[in-house]
Amino acid sequence: MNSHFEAFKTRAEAVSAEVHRFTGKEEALAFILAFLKEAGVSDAPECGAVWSAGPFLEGARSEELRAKVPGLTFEVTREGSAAAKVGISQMDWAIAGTGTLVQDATGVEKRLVSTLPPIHVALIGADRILEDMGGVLERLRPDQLNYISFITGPSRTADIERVLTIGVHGPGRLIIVVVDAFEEVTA
Amino acid sequence: MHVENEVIFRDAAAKALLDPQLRANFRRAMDGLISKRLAQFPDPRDLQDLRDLSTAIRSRSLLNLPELLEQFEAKATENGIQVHWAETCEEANELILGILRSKGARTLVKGKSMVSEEMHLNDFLERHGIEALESDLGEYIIQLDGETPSHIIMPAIHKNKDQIARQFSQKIKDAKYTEDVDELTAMARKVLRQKFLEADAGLSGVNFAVAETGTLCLVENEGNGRMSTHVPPLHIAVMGLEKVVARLEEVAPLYAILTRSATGQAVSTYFNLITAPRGAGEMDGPQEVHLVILDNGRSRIYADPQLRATLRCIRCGACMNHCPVYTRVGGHAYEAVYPGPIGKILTPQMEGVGVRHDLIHGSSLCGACAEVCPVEIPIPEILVRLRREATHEDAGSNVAGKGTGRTAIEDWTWRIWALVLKRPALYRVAIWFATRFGKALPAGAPLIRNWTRSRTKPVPAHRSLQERMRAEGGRHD
Repeated sequence: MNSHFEAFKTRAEAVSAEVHRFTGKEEALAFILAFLKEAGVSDAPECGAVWSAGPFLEGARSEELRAKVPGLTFEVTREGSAAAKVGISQMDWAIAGTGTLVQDATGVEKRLVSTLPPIHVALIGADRILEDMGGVLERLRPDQLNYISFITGPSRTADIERVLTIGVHGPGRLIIVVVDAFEEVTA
Repeated sequence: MHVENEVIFRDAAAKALLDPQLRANFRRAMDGLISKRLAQFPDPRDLQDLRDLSTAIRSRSLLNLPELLEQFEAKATENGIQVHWAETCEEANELILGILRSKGARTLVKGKSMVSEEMHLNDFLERHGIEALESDLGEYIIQLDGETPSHIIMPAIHKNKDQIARQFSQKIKDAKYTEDVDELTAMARKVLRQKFLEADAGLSGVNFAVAETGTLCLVENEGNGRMSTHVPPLHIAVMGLEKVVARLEEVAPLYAILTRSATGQAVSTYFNLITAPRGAGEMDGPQEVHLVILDNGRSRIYADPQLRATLRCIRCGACMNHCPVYTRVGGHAYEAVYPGPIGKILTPQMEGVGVRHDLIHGSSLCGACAEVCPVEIPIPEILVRLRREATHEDAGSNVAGKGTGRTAIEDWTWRIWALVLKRPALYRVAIWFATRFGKALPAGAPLIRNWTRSRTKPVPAHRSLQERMRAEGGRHD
């Protein structure tokens, strides 16, 4: 059990992210399937889902998911992401102190699925939650990675009368799926 | 020599004070920002520790600035970022136009960048047939009305939602009138999303540049910043040459104090570390990343050990939010790209202390700005220094426009003053007249009224000290 989870959840929810925790991969996948259905993901226009597949998904599983969810694709393009309703990606680290997700986003598809669709579902292993930013910067070195994203909650602005508005250019909803037994399934 | 054609902050400020809507908009927004910042720093000792650390990091970066810039350029170039240097805004604009033209780009979508405001890049590109569209919500709002930012963090804060509702319904195609902030935001999102997908290039600012890794750090909340850096096929970043820090570890405390001081957030929604363009075999993302590093007077500021502190600024805007002058007159009265206290020391150093001596004097020196500055820039001390620079031509000084803020009246006043003080007989005559007739001088007389406009007229004593000493004798008890 990761001792930082509760702090992470509190901070992430304070900035309007939704946090769910599951013990294993199967439970997490079942949740994502149900969520995609509930969100109305289908092969109709503007209703698709784009998944920037990480180690969390083996090839066989992605075939199975694609069969179950019409409109879900693992081939991420700029246009596809812009037209999608949900983007799904796997994160590398999280920061408990601020409720932040961190991702080596060298592959541009990871940036596209977390920016363009109105809903972003982010997967993260519970043991990947670190205390602070310093710990992350020791592990993710930008001299080896083209792009690193730190994401804390959904897109927001307060440019009109300082009224908080969620979902400006980026997603209006950020669903964080924390999985306890993450490493063993991705090893 | 006195410089003509100066901008008079005092008049613009007086006009702004007569606009109750403007004052209400600023008052409410600034009060909100002040309390949000305070909530982020519950323990004043923690705040001071973080300020000390941030000040040390920025000071040390500036101490090694030339070496760090060289190191940064070498590393960024190695990573595939194309680095360009511009001494003036004109050069920077031409560089960007050249990059856009070489790629056949016709449209540029922009994330928020104050340096691009400094360059007046949008106007320049429009004149050369390239559409430059602001995508930050606040910047988009003011661009629709052809205005400039009134705050460096919240550019449209001078407008309230009714004004924005009217503006959107008139200027956005097929827009209905609504005062609902969520709906207004959604309208802007729709227009801008299309533009993002069509744009040939994206532009962003830079919050910190890391020398050891050649990385550009970008802080933002809306997502438009990151979209500008990876949705269009070309990314151009612009930054002032002071933005570099030595090591990645130094970014964490600066970022922590930046967002807390600026908007009272523990962190921003997005923090992006950009090191290289798209990799081999990738279909999306920028094919090229260019960085334009602008001087525009910064190396001149750097050369002065005291004024160098100006360059520590991380552009959080806290000095504005806490300034009793700014919060009453708003940002536009300054008629400068950077308003508020930081603008009062930065603008005259860039444009000349003579041209903008109105700004140097537009301060009560209350010190609120220095008290909240996350990198402890002694703004009041620098203002006092610049006041001297505006009227003196000190040999050792490197300040732009030094001595050009001295008016003929000021010049003659000091000459007469010196003439009188050097001659005791003349001095006694002058004092005799002042004590006898000073009271009779009307408060509205020329010259006197500059003082009496907002103060009561000082009345000289009936008798001078010399006269009283002679008449009453000195007491030495």
